[in-house]
Amino acid sequence: MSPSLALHPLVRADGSATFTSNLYTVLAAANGPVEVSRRDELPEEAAIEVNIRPSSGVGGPRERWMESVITSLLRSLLLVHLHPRMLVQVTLQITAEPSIKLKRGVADVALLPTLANAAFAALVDGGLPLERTMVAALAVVREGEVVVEPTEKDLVGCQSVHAMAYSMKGEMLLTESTGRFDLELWEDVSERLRETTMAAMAKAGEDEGMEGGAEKGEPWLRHALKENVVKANAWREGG
Amino acid sequence: MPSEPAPSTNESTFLLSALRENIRLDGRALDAYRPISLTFGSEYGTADVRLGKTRVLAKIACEVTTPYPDRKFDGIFTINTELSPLGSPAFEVGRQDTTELLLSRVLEKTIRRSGALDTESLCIVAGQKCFHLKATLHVLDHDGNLVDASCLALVAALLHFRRQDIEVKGEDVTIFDVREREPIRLTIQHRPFCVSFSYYHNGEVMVQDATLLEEQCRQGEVVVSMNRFGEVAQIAKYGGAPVDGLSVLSCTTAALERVKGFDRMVTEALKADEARRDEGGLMAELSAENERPTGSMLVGSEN
Amino acid sequence: MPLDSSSYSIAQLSTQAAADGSSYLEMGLTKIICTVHGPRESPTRSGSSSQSPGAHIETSISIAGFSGTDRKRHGRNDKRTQEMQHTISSAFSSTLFTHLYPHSTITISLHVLSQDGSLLAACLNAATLALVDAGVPMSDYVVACTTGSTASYAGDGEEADPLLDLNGLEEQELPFLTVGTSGGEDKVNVLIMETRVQVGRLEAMISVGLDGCRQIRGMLDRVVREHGERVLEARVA
Repeated sequence: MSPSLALHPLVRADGSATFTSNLYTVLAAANGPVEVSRRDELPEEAAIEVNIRPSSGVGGPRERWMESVITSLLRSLLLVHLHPRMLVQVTLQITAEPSIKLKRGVADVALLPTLANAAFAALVDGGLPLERTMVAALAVVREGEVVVEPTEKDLVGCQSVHAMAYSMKGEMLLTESTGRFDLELWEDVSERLRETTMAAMAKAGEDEGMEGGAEKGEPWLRHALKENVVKANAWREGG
Repeated sequence: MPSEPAPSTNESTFLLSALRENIRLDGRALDAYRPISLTFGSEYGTADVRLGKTRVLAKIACEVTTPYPDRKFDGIFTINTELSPLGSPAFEVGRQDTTELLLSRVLEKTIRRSGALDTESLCIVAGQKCFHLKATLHVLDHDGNLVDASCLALVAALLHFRRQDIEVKGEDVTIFDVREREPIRLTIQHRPFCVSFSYYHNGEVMVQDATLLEEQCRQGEVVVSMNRFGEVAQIAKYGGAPVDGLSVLSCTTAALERVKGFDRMVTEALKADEARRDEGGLMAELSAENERPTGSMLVGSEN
Repeated sequence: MPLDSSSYSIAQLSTQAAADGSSYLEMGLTKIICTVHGPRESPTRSGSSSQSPGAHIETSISIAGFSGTDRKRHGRNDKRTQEMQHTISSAFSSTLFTHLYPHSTITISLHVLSQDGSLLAACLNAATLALVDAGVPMSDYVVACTTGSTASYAGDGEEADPLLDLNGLEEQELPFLTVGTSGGEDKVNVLIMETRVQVGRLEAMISVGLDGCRQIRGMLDRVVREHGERVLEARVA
């Protein structure tokens, strides 16, 4: 099942997106560039503030950790030097979670790709200048098998969980893993995830041509963004 | 951004002079609400309310804790209303502002203090174990009248929520998973709803369901919470321009009509959701039966 | 006992020399000291409040730990107290001529020494006196009192007898509301009700409350005039 992405569900935020993976649904809002408080101001580039809000209750250390991971990821995506002494504010609201109770460490890593994709889509929707396009994906190793984009059941009793993000050029932007695995396995997983994410970003006309294109999933990111561009340019054709 | 930018003089004078002629900028009648939509999530206890461009998501979660020592026979019920920049760039994280303070106080008085939820029913073993019901409100879009939308979402979510079933044998407590036993509804004693009135021109013009711009231009507000039986849970008029005592009373009459409408809407939405769930529920049960390993089948048959 | 009988309530002006305006008010066993500072320049901070065309009114309420029957520490971040602060600030912002003092702040500090019901009402009354003492121009006094309804929940009748000016015990048992008036007869400035009551009883409760406010207004007015005369006498002498 390919993940679903809806752009601009919110009215007040500059950019927003809802991203649903097999496990989680995250609503992201991006505001920026906005005024920054003196304390967070950076003289040469835009500050990035990420807030993660769990579906119930208030965030704790886990959310702070995930925020730090996402912040550094976004820093490699945004052209921060274009907006010195400004702030880009990204709020990520988790709206749906797996009903099965997962182990803390597993749940944290499993959530990261959804957060990253939602945050990225919100930045795109908000029209913030970006350096590169990225897609994040999740994989688990279960009974020696690599399962990409796992479901709830795959997560229970898996050996290791891997969250990775790749840019369109195939650069690895994020990798977080937990569980028991060796380097060889990790390399295998990263290759599988690279293929999956590349398929999601595939350029027009490439997806059909690519070997095993159907198996790797449809280029959902391009589809969603293209739809948005068409909608945004509708007025041109109308005239 | 520390606070919502104030409307320009042009905007506010235009709005006020239009209101003097009983005209609202969006063409609504003075006592009309924007289109309301109430949807429930796939999980129990999730309600999404849209009121025009305002959107609020309420979520209820439940866990087992020890009760407060001075309230041994009561469960714990907390309402969390932290605002995030999702709703409006003016909301800062971790900083409490007046909007949030008033919102949380009104909800506290309307739902908690009026005894809408029977907290005694959340008690498991007196003094030792109880349910802690956590209601969280997420303001996703703020375009005025957060109070009414939040209250509606919260009451709907409480009515929609089911908690896990429990069994107490002496000191031992078994908490059944949702898959083992059908979860249980909360004991809701009455359903209070909030209706906010904004007034202009020294109380001559009263407006229901104000948008953000209308809220910024108003002279004051009256928030009335009541249930469909005409029991008022709270009234709040925090200062602002003085109005006639009679017009405050007329607010309560108008609120009663509105609340009856809300009550009907929630009942219907719940019914529709239940019908939808029942269909899916039967299907899910059948498919679960096949997948269920023999171990838990035994547990099931014991019950 | 009539509300304004002097054995029941005591009101004084200019009790603290250091403040721009001050008052001491007793309503039954509820005792409050109020001091007013300002109008004075707003402390520098980035925010729209300092740019507003009128004066900004800040209220702080500190409730003494020994004020109630049980010794409890009242945090400043208590939401109930914060709500009262907001209520008092906005009640006065429509009554004071704030437009005369742009970019300034008026600070109202209320110290609750003893509480036995009608806390918000007493705070509003004390603040009015202190603001008069400070010489801040205002269109009218803000006066407030509480009313309760005697009949129990079950009794739906409108014949339920409203009570005026409740003490702490009565507040715990009966549905009640605080009503504050300013700007002429029967103009409601503040109306706060936090207990469940039938809608039919409100009318009687509010009208009795308005009547109580009229009595209190008379009492405050007398106190202010007496104080004024004394000040004048002192000048002449």
